[in-house]
Amino acid sequence: MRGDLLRFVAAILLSCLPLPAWPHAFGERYELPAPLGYFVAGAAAAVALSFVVAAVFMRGMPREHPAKHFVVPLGPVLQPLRAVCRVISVVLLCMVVVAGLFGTRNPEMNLAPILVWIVWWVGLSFVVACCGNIWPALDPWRAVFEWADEAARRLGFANGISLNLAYPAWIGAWTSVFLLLLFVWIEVIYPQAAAPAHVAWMALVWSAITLTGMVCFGGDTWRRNADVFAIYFSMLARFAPIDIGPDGRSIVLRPPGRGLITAGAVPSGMVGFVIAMLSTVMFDGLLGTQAMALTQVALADWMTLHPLAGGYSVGAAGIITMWLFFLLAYMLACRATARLVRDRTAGAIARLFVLTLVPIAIAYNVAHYFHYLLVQGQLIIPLLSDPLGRRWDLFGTAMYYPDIGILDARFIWYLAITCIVAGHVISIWLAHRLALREFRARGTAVAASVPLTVLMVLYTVISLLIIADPLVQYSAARATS
Amino acid sequence: MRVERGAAPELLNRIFRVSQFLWLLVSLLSPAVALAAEPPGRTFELTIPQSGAPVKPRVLRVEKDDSVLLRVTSDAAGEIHLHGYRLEMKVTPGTQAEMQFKAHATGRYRIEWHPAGEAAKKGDHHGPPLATLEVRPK
Repeated sequence: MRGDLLRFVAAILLSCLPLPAWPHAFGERYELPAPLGYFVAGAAAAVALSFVVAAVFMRGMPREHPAKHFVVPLGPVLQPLRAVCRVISVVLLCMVVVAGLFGTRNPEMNLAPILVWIVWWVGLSFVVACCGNIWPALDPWRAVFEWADEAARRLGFANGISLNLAYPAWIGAWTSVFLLLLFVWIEVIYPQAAAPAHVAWMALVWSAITLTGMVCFGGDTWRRNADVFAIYFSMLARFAPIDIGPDGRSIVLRPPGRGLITAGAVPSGMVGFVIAMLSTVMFDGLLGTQAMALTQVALADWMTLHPLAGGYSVGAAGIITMWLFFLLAYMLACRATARLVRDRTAGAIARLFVLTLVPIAIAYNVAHYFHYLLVQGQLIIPLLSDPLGRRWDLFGTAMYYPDIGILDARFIWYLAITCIVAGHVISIWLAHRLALREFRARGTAVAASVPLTVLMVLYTVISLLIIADPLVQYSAARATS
Repeated sequence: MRVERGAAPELLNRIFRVSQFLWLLVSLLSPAVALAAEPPGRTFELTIPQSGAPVKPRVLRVEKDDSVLLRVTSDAAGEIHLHGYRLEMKVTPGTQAEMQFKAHATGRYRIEWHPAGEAAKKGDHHGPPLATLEVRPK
C-alpha cells in the first residue's frame, strides 16, 4: 500500500516534467543557468532593496496629487490608423491559417508557428508591457465581429448580431483563467504545438469559440470575462506608460505602473488570472532546468510503473499544481494582511492588491523569454522574403539563418537577475502606495504591506532558484565525469 | 695555461648566463605564445547505447571559443545532431565518427541521436537528448 502511494506521489511529481522533451512550443531555448553567485547576489539584493523600499516609502502618507496625466491630443489620426491595423490583423490571421494548412511542414520555415508563438505571444507582450495596449486595434476577431455587427445595424437590426444573453455571473473571469492554463499547456506540454497545421487548426478553433462567445454574450462582456488574450494584454498594458485617452482621439502618458493602482478592487477571477500569469512562466522556466532533467532520469523507472505517467494529462496536473501553489501563497499573505487590518476580508484584500503583482509577471517574462525572442525571433527575417514558402526571395534574406551567438550568457544572467529584483521592488512599492491610499493610517498601511513584502521576497527567491538552477552547480562534478 | 685555466670557468659562466637569459625570455614569452596559440581543444567520447537502453544524460562543459572534438562510436547506423549549431554527422557501425567545431556561442545545446530507420520522423519528436553541450562564457 505504502509503495503504491509513493509511486502515485512520484507520478504526480513526474507530471511536472516535459514528457516529450520538447522544451518549448516553438524552437529551443539555449539559455544557461546562472551561476550560484548570481543567485545569492540577486536574493540578497531583493531582500536589501525591499527593506530600503520599506524604510524610505513607508514614512507616511504620499502627497495627494490628482492623477497627473500628460495628454497628447492626436486629433483624427488614431481612427484611420486603427482601421488600417484591423485590416492588417485580419489578413495576418488568414495568412497564418493558409500557411499552416498548405505551407511547408517544417515549423522553422513556416509563417504560422513563428508569427503565433514568437512574434505575437512573446513579442507582442513585450511591446504591450513597455509601450501600451495596441492589441484592441490588432485583434482580428474583434475586427471581424465589429464589422459584422456594424453591417447588421446598417441593415436594420437594432441590436446588431449579438444575442446579448446573460453571461453567468458566478463564473466571471474564471473562464479566462481556465483558457490561459489550457493555452500554456498547449505551449509547453503539447508536443505538436509548433506543427504548422496544428497552429492553423488552433487559430480556427479559437476563432469559432471567440466569435460564438461574442455573438452570444456581446463583445464587451466576452472580452471582459472570457477572451484570454484581450485580458492578458490589457493586464500587461496597465503597467505601460502610454494609454489611449477616453475620447479615443488622444494618448495619455503616465508613470509606468500607475495604471495598476488606479483600478480599485478587481473581480475575483482576475486574482486567479494574474496568479496564472506568474505561475505559468515559472513553470515553463522549471521545465528548462537541468535539475528537472536529472530528476526525470532518476525517476524514469518509476514512470513505467504508473499508467498515468504516459499521457499528457499529467503535464496539466503540473501546471495546475504550480498555479495552486502560487495562489495559496498569495491568499495566505492576504489573509495575514486581513488579520492585521481587521476591517476587510482576505478576499477583498486579494482583489485589491492582485494587480500590483503584474510587474513581477512582466519581469518573469523578460527574464525567461528575452534570449529566446532574440535568437528564435530571427527566424522572421528569412520569412519576410518568403512568407508562403514558395521559394521567393523578395528582400534577399531568404537564406538567412539565426545567429545563435547574438547574446552572451553573461548578459542574459545580468538582465534576468536585474529584471526579477526590479520587478519585485516595483511591486512592493506599488503595493505600499496602494496600502497608504486605501488604509490612510500609516501603521495600518505598514502592517498591510508586511505580508505582501514577505511573499514577494519568497517569489523572488523561487524565480531566482529556477533561473540559477542550483542543483546543476552541486552535481556539476558528477555529471562531467 | 693560466689563461686557459681561467677561460674554462668563464666560458661556463657565460653559457650559464646566456641560458639564464634565454630561460627568462622563454618564461616571459610563453604566456604570450600560449595566448596567441589556438584555444585549448576539448575532446569527448560518446558511445551510443543499444536501442531501448536508457540514456544516461551527460553534460559536456566547455568554455566559449574552445575547439571541441566529439568522437562517436555506435553499434547501429544513424545520425548525430548538435542542435543550435546545426551540425549533423552520419555514424556507421564499427567506425569512429568525429565532429569538430569551435564553440562560438554560449548556451546549452542538445546533442541528439537519430537511428537510421527513424530518419523519416526527424524533427517531429525527440526523446531525451544523448548529451547536452554547455558552452559557458569565459
